[in-house]
Amino acid sequence: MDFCYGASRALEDISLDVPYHRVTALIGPSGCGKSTLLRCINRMNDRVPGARVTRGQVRVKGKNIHDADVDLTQLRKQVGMVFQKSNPFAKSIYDNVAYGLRIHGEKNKAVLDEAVERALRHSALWDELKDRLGASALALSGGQQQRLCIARAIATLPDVLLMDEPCSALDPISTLKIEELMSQLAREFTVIIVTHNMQQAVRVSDFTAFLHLGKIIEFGPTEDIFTNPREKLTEDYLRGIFS
Amino acid sequence: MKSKTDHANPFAGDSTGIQKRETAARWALRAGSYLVVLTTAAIMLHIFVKGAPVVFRSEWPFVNTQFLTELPSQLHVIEDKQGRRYETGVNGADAIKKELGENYRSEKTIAYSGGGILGPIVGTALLVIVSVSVALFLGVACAIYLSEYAKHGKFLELIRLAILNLAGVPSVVFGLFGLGAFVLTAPVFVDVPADRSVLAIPLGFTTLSFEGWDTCVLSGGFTLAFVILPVIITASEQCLQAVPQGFRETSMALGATRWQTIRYSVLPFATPGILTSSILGIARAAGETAPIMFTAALAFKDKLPWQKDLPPLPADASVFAQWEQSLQRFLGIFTESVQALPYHIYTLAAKIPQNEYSERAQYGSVFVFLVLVAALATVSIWMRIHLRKKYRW
Amino acid sequence: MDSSDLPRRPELRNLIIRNRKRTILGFDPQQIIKYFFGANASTAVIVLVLIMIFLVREGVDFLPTNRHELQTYRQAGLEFCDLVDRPLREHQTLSSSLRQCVSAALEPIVKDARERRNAAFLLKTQAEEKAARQREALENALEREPPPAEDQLAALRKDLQTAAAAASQALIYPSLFTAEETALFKAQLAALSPELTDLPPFIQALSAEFMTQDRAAREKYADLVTAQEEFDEAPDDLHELVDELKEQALGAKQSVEESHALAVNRQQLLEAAETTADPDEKASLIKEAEASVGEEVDLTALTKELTARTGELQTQIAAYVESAEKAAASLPDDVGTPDAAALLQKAKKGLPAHVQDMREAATALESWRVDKPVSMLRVIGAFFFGTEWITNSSWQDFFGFVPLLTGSVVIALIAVFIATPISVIAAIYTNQFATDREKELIKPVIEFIQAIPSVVLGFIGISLVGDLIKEFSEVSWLQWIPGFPIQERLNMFNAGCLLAFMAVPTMFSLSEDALNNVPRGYIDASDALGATKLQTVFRVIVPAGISGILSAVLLGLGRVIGETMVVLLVAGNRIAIPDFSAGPGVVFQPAHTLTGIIAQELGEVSRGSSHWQALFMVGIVLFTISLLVNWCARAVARRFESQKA
Repeated sequence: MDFCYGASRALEDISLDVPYHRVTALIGPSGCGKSTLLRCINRMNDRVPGARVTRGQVRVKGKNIHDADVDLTQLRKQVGMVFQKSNPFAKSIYDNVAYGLRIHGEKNKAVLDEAVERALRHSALWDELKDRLGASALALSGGQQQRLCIARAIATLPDVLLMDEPCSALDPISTLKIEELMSQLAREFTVIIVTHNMQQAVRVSDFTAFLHLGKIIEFGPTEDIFTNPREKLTEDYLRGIFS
Repeated sequence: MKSKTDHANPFAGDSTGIQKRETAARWALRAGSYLVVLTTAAIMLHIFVKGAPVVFRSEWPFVNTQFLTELPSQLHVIEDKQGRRYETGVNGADAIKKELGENYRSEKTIAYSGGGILGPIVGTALLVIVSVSVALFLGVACAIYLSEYAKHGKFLELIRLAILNLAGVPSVVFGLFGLGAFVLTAPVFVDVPADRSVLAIPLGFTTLSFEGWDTCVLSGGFTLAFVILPVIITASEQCLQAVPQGFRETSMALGATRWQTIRYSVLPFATPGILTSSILGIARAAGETAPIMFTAALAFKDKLPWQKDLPPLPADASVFAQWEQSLQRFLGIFTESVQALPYHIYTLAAKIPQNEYSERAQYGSVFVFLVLVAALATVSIWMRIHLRKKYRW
Repeated sequence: MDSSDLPRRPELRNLIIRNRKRTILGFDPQQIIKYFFGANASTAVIVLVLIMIFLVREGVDFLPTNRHELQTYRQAGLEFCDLVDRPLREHQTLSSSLRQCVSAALEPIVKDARERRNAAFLLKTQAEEKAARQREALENALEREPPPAEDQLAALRKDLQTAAAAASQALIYPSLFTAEETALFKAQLAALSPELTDLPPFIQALSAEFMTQDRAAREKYADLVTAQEEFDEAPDDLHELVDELKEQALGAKQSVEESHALAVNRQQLLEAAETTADPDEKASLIKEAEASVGEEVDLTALTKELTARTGELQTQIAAYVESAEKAAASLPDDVGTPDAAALLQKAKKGLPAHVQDMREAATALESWRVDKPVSMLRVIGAFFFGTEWITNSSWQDFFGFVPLLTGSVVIALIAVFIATPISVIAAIYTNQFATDREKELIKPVIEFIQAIPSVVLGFIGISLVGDLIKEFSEVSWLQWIPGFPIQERLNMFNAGCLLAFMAVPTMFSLSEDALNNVPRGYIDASDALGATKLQTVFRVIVPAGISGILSAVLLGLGRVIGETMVVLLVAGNRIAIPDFSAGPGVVFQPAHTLTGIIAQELGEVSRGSSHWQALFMVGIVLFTISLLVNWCARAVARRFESQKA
């Protein structure tokens, strides 16, 4: 697959098979196209004028997501995303988590309650927050906010969860909590995570893809990549020769 | 990237209903927006259709020069016994009546509707010049302080609060203020202070008396200056802020003083923007009516401000006396009350009955006024877009 | 480096040091420049303070001046007369609605005859107008001394006849007349000449027909007609008495005012005498002051004369009340048309209250005391809660600002009600949906609206919008809208529409800023969850920007309340509290406003009079309102910022 922003090619010759119900990490130096690749998967790049896939296909659940009969809202409902900077709405905690269900037409209070509780439990927030679901989400700490965003993303029960450097703005303790969370999430979701931090990739991911200048240099089980890289470039990157 | 050979479409949307709602809502929003645009267009078109024929002619020189170069006057409409109508100013009426003699039937006079609108145009121009000079001086200085000198603190907060509130003060209250402050209290040099003088300071050769400037261009101009001051300050400050911080730092690093930095590294880059925004200030100043109602404007005046009546000089008057009279006449552009376009339109619209003759004067004045203001506004808007493209730091 | 640089170094250092030491009058020039700009910056603060000072200086004396006026009003007995006169004014309203009721009841019977007669009169006038020149020529000739030759007159007559015949042919005869009638009338019109003094026989016949019909109708509703006439005449005696007393009171007021003016003059002369140094001038001033003494007005005697007639007044009131009640009792229940029935109901409802008011007035006369002082609180109350703004009155000026405030507020609410949805919609559309090309159209156009002078919009209101609304209100299938068809071209709704147009730019640009400031992350998050554009806009972006939008609406409101020229030209300038019993149709009534009254009346009053001061008081109120609105807008916006942080 090729991907262009206007005339400049951001991704080239990408071919990647993301394994089901595993954590896949995308690593690489800044500007290598990790985030662009991630954003291709739920078509968040559609909004950027001139951005388009120029060659090849992105297939999720076997379906080319650029087909005319793909409904963008359905796609995004099933491919959730968590951003680098936590971005809860200025609403209550409950409303934040329920937002995704509500926009997809769910009005039944009982269903919503249940989904909110499940999502919060999954993101390990339930015990901390169950007594103050009505409080403003903006009053939470940074780590809690990010986990709330994860809860919001998984409340609609997506199949795939995209995470764009979810820990880069957090302190080490919060980061630890979210990393723990990720391995649990992999039991139910296919998780793709972009990260800057190689240790994090080692800790949380089952598979790792190394990107450089818009190309996939190497892809394989995390252990193999880190202990026994096949490519010289990967080795250099891992050894910190460039970043 | 992720494949499972499953050919059913997992992302099929049941979204025809949603799609319809989306489109409908989008059209509703669009209709609301275009309502504003169309209303504006309709109003402009109405004024253009009714006003342009008054100002333009189908034959050479295509412009009704009389309308633009004469002072307003009474319009006399004289009808003869054959039903023919003659329109004329004050002076022409008697001649026509005499000529008609027996044939004269009736005469109608319509106030303010004859002649042209030179007086109001000149008055508005003078008011705008005075007010914009004052407002630019104060406004730019204030903006320089706010953007270059001020440190966070009570004083800065106070000033910002004052500017915000000043922008919200109703224009008629500015009129009251101008009346109280400039017309009735501002200081002048006189030989004998008037009774109403608030405070008279004898200076030996003359007296500084706080007795006001009376209704004149200066009073109106200063009042208008404070009306547009917030606009000018805000716009100037934005322009100054838009000059990159790096310019200042570079200059300071070379050892320039604060003032030198402002003078050579900030102001030159901000000036085009400031001037552009001040054009909008001009449009605003030209358009305000309430502040000049009690401070400068007259409903009717048959002289231009520099044609002041002065006692005729004796034949053997010295050159010096002649100069003095010329100077006095010239100063009339500050010390005389004037007609102003917006006030003229108000008079035409509110003080005389509507008929075909007054309508012509009304739409003509409105058309000229609007063309002037619209030209200023358009130039300002266009230049701002242009500048924004040119100076992109 | 060139070695020649070396020796110059100390000089350079000297230069820098000297530069640093240079001062002007002991001040660092940099500091002076800074203070110069600082001083300019404080202009805004100073102007704001000056506005307050000047408004207060000219306005604050209103309270003592007005207090003195109200004192005179009481002492001279004007208040005493008003005790009866005010409730009595209600009689006129009731009487007029009864009169309308009578004509509404008669209407179906006399309508045809009246229309025929009126149409005939109209045609006659039109015919006369068309032949007016020939007619005038003949008239002039007939009046001339000596009379012109007979053949000349004959020629003029012939001219007139031709013209009249042509005119009668050219007229359009309505279908109210039969063909024969038309022909007859046509001939009569053609024969019109200045020598005929009587109306054409056809019109006479129509008039007679109308009179007969009218008489018949009046007989049919004899009950109603007599009741109305009785009620109309009931207060005649009372009126006469009150008018007499009023005249007396006015006389007393005049002498009080004269003596007050003399006293003030004397005071001033004495003060001038105090300050002057020249003994001669001093003496002459004192002499002048002593001459400036009016007769001492014996108010107690005057008012005693008034109060002495309390008994007489009460008897008259009782008589009036009795006859009014009698008239009310004899009103029939059934009056034919629904219009008449509605008017009758209105009168019947108003009557008992009116009678009650009159009774109370009778008792109030006894408890009225001439020497009761007017408290300051009362004066303040009379300004802020007074329902009458009456100036240049031969009786008594009142400065109650409630009617003005009501006008301003109603107009502002109409404007905000119209402008808010439009501007917010336009802001949402431009910010979220519009293509770049559309943005380039909508934004400058809306910015351009801001530059349209308000007086031009006011003129548009008079010349275009007023007529449009009036024509619209006469469309038959729109009659369900309350207030339609409207009476006045210039009314609050008209002003409200134009002000809404004026407020759009403010509200639009501030709302758009608010939407622009919504954090990018919100939109990303919502999109990533699969929300449609519309859902994102209305569930995330608008709620996040709502405080900014609210603050924009408030600032728009401030602009609308402070706007002068549009309301002055378009609101209709009727100084009265709108009649809210008309329901939502109230918006089609004319009103006056806080800003309009200043602009209209300040030019015509003399400085220092109570009227002048009252107008400055209105200015103070306006100023306060603008500060308050600004403060609210800031408070709302600040809440918004703290929420985001």
